[in-house]
Amino acid sequence: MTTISISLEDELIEWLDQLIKSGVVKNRSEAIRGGIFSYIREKLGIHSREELWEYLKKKQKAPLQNGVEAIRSVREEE
Amino acid sequence: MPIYLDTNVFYNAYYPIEDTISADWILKQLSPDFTGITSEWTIAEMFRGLKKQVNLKRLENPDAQVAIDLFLSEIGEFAQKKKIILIPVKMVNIMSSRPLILNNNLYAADAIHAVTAIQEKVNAFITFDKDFKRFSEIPVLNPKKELNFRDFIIDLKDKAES
Repeated sequence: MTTISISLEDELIEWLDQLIKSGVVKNRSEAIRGGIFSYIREKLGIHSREELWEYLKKKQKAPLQNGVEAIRSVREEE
Repeated sequence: MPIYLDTNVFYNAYYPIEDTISADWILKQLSPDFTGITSEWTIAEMFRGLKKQVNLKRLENPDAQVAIDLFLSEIGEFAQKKKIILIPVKMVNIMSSRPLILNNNLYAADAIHAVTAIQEKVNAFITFDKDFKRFSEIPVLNPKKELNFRDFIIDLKDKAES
């Protein structure tokens, strides 16, 4: 992970700190990372499950495991 | 009259696989009077389930992040609209999982989901996993295996909303 410095308005920093205080995110970096993922998703035009299915169908390199297979393997990792 | 939703219901609803339409239909039935209950642990399992697809080289990490972002955004919205209630994993759940693990031989995560469902007094435990071990307190229903699954859900929903 690379560290970068960014400039933000005081108001934005207050909002970030409120998110941390209310326990939604752990720190400012986590909040900004989450915001960037949301921004990318918005820019890709993915606002619904249907749009996500279409996107993933195009982007997947092989069919995804089904939910039972994927989640069962997660639970059996223990 | 809530129903419990196992993690595979969310996974199937968000990612394009053969059971997607069926899982999506379940999420579309939820309302403030007919809530879906799930453990907060579901969120961690969703993260890991998708990371597995990255590890299996079926998906790139940035695409997995985008998919997770929509899931998190919608689950937050569902919770805000009181269609879904996320139940925290507390010590009381962990202690209650003991007989399910020791007597019924459930995996730890399965037991946490089962105990959460029992404590929340749900009417049904919905899972696509045919191997999910049954427990006596709540009917375990598989949308793929149960005949009249949709009728059962619509009936429950009608009762809850009337």
